[in-house]
Amino acid sequence: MAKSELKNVFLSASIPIPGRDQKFVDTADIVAIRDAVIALATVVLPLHRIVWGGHPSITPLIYYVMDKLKVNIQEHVTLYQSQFFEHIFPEDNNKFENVIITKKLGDIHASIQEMRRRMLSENKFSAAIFLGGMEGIETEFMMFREMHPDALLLPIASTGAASKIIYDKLLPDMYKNERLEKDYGYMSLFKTLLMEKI
Amino acid sequence: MSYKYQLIILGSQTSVKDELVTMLGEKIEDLGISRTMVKIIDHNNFGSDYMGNQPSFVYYIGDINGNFNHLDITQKLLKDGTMILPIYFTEDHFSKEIPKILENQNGILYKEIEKERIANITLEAFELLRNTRKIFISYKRNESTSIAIQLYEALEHHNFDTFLDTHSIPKAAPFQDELWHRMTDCDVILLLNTPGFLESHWCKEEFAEAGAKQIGIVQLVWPNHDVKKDTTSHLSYPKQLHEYNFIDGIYNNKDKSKLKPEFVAEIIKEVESVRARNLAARQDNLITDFRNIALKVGKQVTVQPEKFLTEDLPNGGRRIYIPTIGIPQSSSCQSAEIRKELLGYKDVSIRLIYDDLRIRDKWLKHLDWLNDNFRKDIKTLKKQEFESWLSQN
Repeated sequence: MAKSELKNVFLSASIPIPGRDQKFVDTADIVAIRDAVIALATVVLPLHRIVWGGHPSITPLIYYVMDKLKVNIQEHVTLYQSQFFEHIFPEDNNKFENVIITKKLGDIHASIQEMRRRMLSENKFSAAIFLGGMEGIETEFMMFREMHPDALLLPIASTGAASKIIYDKLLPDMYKNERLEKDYGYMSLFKTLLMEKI
Repeated sequence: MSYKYQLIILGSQTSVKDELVTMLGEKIEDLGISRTMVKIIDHNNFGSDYMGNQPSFVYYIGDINGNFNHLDITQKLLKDGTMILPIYFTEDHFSKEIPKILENQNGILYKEIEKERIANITLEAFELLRNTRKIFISYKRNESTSIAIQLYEALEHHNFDTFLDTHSIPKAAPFQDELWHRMTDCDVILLLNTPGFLESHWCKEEFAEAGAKQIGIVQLVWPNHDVKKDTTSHLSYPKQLHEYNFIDGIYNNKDKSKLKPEFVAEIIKEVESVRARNLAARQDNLITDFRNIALKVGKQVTVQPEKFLTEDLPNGGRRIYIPTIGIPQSSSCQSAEIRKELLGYKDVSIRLIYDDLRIRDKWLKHLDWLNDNFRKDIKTLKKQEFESWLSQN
């Protein structure tokens, strides 16, 4: 498939860990986050491109799926990483050809914000998927909506945590769908609610 | 959050309901599993208690006068791909005593002696029988041997088929390969995350691979270790241990350390909970996804209580789809229920449906070879090919 036909899907995902804000930890469904990442990669990668700012527990899952799919889809992934985390980059970063390192600016917050700014401004997106997550997911949701007002928004509420909060509180009614709240068959969910819409 | 197995009882309000719950409870206790692991749900608490992310099994109790209750809930559960067992009371009266929306389901004619069979079908649906409750304990020999053995014994006692993954053997390729092969079929890995554990063995890729193979991971994080340091291991259920969880507070002696019995009980509960959640995930991954994709291409596929799916073809033939976790094997086609399904149709074919992401390439090649060279009516079908195959066949 020619590169120009690939559509970009933004993935915002992370796993709440004990010790962080309880409102994320309490509702997080780790198995659901895991399964949704795998299903998303399986469904999207053969045809389109996933762009994400790799959380160290999410990136290896995407790599695993990519490796299993057996087609050359290096151009179907774009990973953004802030130089701030250079010392703890996951080894899997080396396995992707398209890793974009963004500048370290002052503290952790400024650095991550710089990564988000570049990730969201340098690409045209057809859709954004939100899975699990913590504070950062809310920020990315707001930024994405403002910068890509016509793109599809899919916070998967069934994965809990920040994605459930943005689904309940920030998502316009036109994007709400009971399947986002209760359907755990993620492969068919992404085929219907994402692939058929972009 | 604590996850459980959900038994949902709908339909006629007869005393049969209590008898079935009692029988199942006894069977579960016989297996060394706490009755409280099964949540009993009826129409009263369905709205508040039923959760789509935990394993479910439904008894729909028929009515001899054909007065049907709870059709809305039944419809919803059918749509979710939940296994439903219709129970009726009079020979040849299935269609009179059971609502039309369940007409394609396999049912059971209720008799006193069938109670045990109903309980067994339920245990199988929840995969509570021992051969399907595989668990790995992964630990570092020079840091946590005595605890590994203590947990091994406790898990065996609770009907888990337990395997100790000892990290004393050098990480040679054949051993590693064999280990992963065995892991593909297990539900939960219990990691004893002592300070040197992840460095010695469990690298980031292994976490990802276990996740992609849909294995639940429970981590016991030692008092002198910080889980936040292991950023790739977040894809698991960590449990922080404290000095006071250990007998006499000894947590760093590989031969003498022992956990307090009440804390071991807590760990078993956590393992069972993660196992329940993971079982539901695997069922959604195959059964729900397959059924949704079939619906999307306009096919009517019925999820049978014995955990296989049937499709009636326009020409009077029938297809049976058998979801297989791990490596599909011909023995998956041998159960009595499936053989019974073969009767009365002029044309029956069997497809073993499986998730190719979970399986090593060597086996995938073998399965493809079997498809080309084996009996024409028993074949395998990869998850990635569900949609294209269903829309063409």
